[in-house]
Amino acid sequence: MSGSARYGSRWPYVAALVAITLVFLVPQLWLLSLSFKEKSAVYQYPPRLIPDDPTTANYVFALLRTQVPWYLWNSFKVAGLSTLLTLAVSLPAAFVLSRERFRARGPILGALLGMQMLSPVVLLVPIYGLMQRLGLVDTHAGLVLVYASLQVPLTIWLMKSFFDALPPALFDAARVDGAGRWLTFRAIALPLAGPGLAAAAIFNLASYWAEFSLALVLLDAQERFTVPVGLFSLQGAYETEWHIVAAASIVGLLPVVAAFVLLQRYFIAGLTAGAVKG
Amino acid sequence: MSVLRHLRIVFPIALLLCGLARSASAQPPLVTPIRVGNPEARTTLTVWAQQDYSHLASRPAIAQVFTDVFSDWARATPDVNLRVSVMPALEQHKAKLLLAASAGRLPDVASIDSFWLPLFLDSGAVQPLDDYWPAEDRQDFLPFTISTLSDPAGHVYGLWHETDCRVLYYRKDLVPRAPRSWAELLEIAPRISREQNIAGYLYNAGRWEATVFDHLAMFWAQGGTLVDGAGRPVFGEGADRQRMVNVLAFLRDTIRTGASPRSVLASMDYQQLTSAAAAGDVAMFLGGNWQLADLKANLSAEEFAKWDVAPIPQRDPATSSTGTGGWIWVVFATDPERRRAAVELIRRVEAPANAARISEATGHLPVRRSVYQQFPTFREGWYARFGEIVASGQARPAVPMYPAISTELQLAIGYAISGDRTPEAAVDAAYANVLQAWERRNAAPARRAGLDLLAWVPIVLAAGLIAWVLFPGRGPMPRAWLAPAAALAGLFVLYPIFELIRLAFTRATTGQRGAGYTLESFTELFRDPHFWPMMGITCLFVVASVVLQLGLGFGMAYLMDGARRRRVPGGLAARVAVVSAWVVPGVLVGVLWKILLMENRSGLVNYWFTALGVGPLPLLSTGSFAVVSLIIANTWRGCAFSMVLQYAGLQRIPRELHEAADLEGASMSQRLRVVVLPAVAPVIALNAVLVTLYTFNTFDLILPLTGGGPARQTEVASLFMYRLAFYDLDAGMAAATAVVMLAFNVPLIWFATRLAAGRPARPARVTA
Repeated sequence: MSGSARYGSRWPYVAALVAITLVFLVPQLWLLSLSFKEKSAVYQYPPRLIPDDPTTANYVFALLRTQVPWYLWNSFKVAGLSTLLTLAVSLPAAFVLSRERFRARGPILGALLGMQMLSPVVLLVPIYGLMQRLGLVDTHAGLVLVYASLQVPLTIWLMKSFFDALPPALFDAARVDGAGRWLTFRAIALPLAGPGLAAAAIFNLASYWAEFSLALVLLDAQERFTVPVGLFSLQGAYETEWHIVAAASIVGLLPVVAAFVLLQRYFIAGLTAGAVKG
Repeated sequence: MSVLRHLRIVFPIALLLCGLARSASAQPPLVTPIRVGNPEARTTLTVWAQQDYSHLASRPAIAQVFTDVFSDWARATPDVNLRVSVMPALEQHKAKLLLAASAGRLPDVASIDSFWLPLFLDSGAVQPLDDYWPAEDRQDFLPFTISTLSDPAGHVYGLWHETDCRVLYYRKDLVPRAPRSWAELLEIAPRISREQNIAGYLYNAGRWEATVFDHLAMFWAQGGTLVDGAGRPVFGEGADRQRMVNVLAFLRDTIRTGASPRSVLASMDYQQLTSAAAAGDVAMFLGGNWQLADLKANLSAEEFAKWDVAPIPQRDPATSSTGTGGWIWVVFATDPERRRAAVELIRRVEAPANAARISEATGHLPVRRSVYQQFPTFREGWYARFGEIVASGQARPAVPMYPAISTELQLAIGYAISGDRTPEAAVDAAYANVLQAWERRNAAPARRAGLDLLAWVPIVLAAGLIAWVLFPGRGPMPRAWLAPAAALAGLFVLYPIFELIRLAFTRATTGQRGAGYTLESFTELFRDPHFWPMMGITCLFVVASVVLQLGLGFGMAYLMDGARRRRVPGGLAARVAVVSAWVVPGVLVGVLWKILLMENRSGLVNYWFTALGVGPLPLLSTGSFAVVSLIIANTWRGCAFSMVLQYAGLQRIPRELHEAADLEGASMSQRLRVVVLPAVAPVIALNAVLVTLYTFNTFDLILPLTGGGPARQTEVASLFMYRLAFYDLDAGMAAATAVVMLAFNVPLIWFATRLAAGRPARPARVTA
């Protein structure tokens, strides 16, 4: 490779990349290691990354003797339904905002961009009051509604930018053929928006999977807890069994990490699209 | 379309796994993690229990006992089943109960800390048990467990299920004779610290109830009283003030003399004391009787034989006292049938034989006389010793002011130990705050009855705004396509914003409708002695996080871009590693760093510090270290965002520009200034604003990591607001705090939308 001669040595780059990888992976590996340790090994000195006596007992315990399976199920349910609702509401709006020009378009886009940046933490108190008045405290329906509403602005932006990128010729052809708005949306825009849809769905699922503050405030009964609140509640009142918490955390992380490893570039698309595409 | 193919595979598998786990855990028919009893039962009682006192305990022995006990109950009671919820740790459990009480959503049965009872007695939510609980069975309980929970009319409102006491644990080989007085302790402990290079004396001093309760014995033994007969706090007046100051001065001296390390400030968990003992890192500690079981489990027989217990050292060695607390079952069900079923449940669970088994597993002290008399474990040995110590025990006053007193004393102890305040100043400040709370409590609340027209303003404003956008007067517009999104955004984003502003001008209680408009929430917020320090901490946290995240993010992006241009392998792996930290849910990042930063030698970070010779550092227990730890954890999580954005920005620089720079032989700084920065400056600006926004509102990572402690030294705005709203139920002040947060957020958001739109002016108006 002639490039390496011109640009100088590649080794400093390799070393730096390895260092970066370690800094971000070792803490996670440490959690993984802890999840295979017996209680006595948790406070062992010197600590070992590879447990002397690895055990899967913590996983068996987390899956059979705690409510962790319920947390997983609840998170799947809430994240899945919220994502469906978010997409169902956002797609039509994104489509018309992308393809059509009307008077309120500019202000709407601006408002959506602003709303997308507002943190739900600021709104915890009024949202709790609203949910109480609607009788939706401690229900998954309430959580799904709030989640979807908060994520709709970003999703519209995301999908709008994908619709924007579709070749205009297709739409012109449809118009010439006399296709209406609905037909154009269903027959042309949706089938072509697959990758965009996937990015939006993955990004939403991951955000809902991780959401903590609203779930903490809005849910009471443990059988309805999502993964973050459930894992938070595993910290005991007097003592915490860290090896169990570690195993439960790994279980709670698995779906999101699996999705991330398989669909990594869509995550990154979601991460950047809302922020840089204007 | 490869994504869809992946999805088709990934999701069914995930769902299948989830379903399998569920059906597997539903195997034992009578006791499942959520339902206990016959699934077909007519009546379902909801139970909110503590994790360590249920079949879901993470200690297998406790879980087994409760599985057995619940199975017995279920077999005997086929027409009732239970939905069991295990509540989060102490403060959250209380907060959830209070909120449920104010909203009328209380469970039928709950296990609560005995000292929370007054909070629920006041509102009449707790139901008496005595009509279904025969007097002869009550006779079997230790007297204080009945008298503390009774009203003057003789109704009993709780069934005490376990008690405890505080003792001094000490190692006989290092401490030949247990110190009886503070003076003796301050003489022995520093010497051991120096000679053995371990902690001489450890105790809880973090921001939680045990910090106060463990040390109240030292106040009580001097003859101190916290409140008078009417429930008014008096601990800050006259002789009682001096007694409290003595206690705080003693605690301060444990640090000054070197008897104790500063890490006691992070002791928010008795486990830390046990693990220090297990690691051979401590000679004496003030702990609870229940830790004996853990100590035995974690130490070899030989090491365990070195330990003994003694009464808590006092100022005057002739006196003695210990705090006895404990948990009680209470019933909130009002329907007579459910109430009877509930009382029968707790009576059966606490039958003498069960109580003995449970106490053996938990290590807590039984409260039934018959257990001490009939079961060998409790008749002799350690339990007999504890029995003697508990004789001088005292329960905390069951008054509504106690929680406020405890909260303030937790802070006072923290300040005195850290040296931020003198014991006198700490006690006086705590007392002033408690008195203020007492006066607020007694001031008749001016509730305005009748129609509150202003309460409708937020919803009308939100609806009006949506209508104004969708019906701008003229021109066609695809309204139906926008309406669902507009409705959701209007109801769940716009309305809450306006409602927040309205609430900030009330003194509303969380969970109730507020009334009467006033500026008090703001004036009290700005007068709150914790408000301005909190703003300072928030700013420090935000500025440091943003600078680090941007700097490191840019550095990594630049490096990876360089690696990409040089075709160095591993760039993708490194990017995935960095982004994986951002994918981990915030709560887990908090838990992860809490584990990494554990304050003994077995914590990973402290192990490295020890290896470097810096020694284990109080990474979460000292204010300044804790803030740094928080910033590092947050940066670790957030770097990915900056890196990804800037990497995308760098990739847009045309290859020719870099090649031109190479040909010119440009230096690193020239290349940065001329080629790189002009291209990525807009990205960096947007990035800076977004990271500031995110960091300012961070909540998920901090709650599990520090919970705002030690004292309130890592309490940022979001936590401050959460505490006000959901611990103190002060929706008015919480809303005022959120309005302050909003005031920071809105300009940043405005700025970010301008930057994102790519032009500083108004968005271009496009006509159809």
